[in-house]
Amino acid sequence: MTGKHAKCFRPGLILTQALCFLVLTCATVLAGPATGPTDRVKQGADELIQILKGPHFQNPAQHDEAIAILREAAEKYIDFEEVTKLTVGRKWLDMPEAQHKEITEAFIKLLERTYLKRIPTYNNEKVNYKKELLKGNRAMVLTEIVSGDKTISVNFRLKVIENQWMIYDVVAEGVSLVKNYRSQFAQILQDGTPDDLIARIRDRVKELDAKGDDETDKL
Amino acid sequence: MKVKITALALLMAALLLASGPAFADGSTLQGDQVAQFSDFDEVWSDSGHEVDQDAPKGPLVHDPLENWNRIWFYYNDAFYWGVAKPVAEAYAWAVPEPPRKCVRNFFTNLWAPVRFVNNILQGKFDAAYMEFSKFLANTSWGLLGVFDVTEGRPRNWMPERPTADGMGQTLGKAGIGHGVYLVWPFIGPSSIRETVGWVSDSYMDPITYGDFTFVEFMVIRGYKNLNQLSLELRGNEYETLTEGAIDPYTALRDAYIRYRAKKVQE
Repeated sequence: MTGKHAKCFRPGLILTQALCFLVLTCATVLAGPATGPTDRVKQGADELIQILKGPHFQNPAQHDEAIAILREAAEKYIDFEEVTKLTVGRKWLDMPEAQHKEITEAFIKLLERTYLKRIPTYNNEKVNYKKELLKGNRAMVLTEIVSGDKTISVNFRLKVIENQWMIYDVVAEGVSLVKNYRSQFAQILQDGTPDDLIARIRDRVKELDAKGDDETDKL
Repeated sequence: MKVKITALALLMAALLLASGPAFADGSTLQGDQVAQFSDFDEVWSDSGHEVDQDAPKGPLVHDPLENWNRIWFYYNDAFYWGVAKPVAEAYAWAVPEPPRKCVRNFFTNLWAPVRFVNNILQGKFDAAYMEFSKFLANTSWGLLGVFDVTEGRPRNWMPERPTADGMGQTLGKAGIGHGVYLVWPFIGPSSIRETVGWVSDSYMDPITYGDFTFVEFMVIRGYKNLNQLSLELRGNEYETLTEGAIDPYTALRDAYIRYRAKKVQE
């Protein structure tokens, strides 16, 4: 009886139990991020909508500030380096780290000026989450945005980066953001260097800024 | 006159269709060919279907007439910013939204035969039935389609798939490819397949059978498009796409082909 009881307190068993516990805990951590892909997209959408409803967007004078706030929020859910990497394609591997940073920053500025500025025009829309596809560290979330009598299909591609689901592509009505820019980048990279591409993106940003100023003057 | 024009357009389309393969040879798009290492391999397509990794990755669309197409793209773009948009803005300023919506409803209702016939051809009988009953309701209770009396009403059932949008989609469903990418003046991005579709659709458009001269016909078509644009001045896809692009021509071609592919798939 005592012998049997004593067996339970064998240091070996305690060690095994501890190990089991450790392995199990590690396994749950390794099993993936705490928040699933759909919830991540939901969180991101909700956060952006909250910001859009906020005071900065009621006042045109605070527009630049508003864009900065939006970008900060967007970066929590969208991995822009991954977006840029997939857009550039194979040539990304031949580019030095400094160039990765340069092109990512230039590309963010372009997306910011094109898309973030336009988000406020899409107001009061409802998002329907239709389906979630999951395979390893990749996921796709299929949604439908309903605004008035119009329904737009919007699909998000996500990937686990630093133990968190991050968006790296948006497909609106069958048009993938990454692929659309990839077709443009590919042509420029075929005829020129990555520096040419960076210069082209920066020129475009400058043009958009100049145009934006004109429009503000008109208002 | 009208018959001659459509016959000419049809002849051109047939010619292009026949010459498509000759043009198509040797031109490839770089688009999808980067998918060589695992990071670039896609698990699902843009619409969420499993991707067959071994499937050959061809070009998105053949564009052997690129230089010619570019001329018309830049022409259309200049026309959009210089003429179409300012005129639509002035029109939107002068005419309040409700009457403009009535005009849109009228033209949408008039286009019902196109949707009905293509629904039948695509085997979407439920959508065809819905189009038919909508057409009856809007033409009678909606005063010749000026009011959409069916909009936003609860329905006992809904067609499983979205209604057909034209013959181009029907041809695509039948397995016919785009052939060659084309940009038409004023009309914009198209392809051999979509041009054939567009001409066929015109035969089903009641306006074609009205007693109009060619000029009147063009004015009506132009007004329909202008009215449509006046309702889409905010958050306009064309502007977002081309303004954010570093090569707007390529951006529009890619978006057009992918958007049509999605339409063919649904």
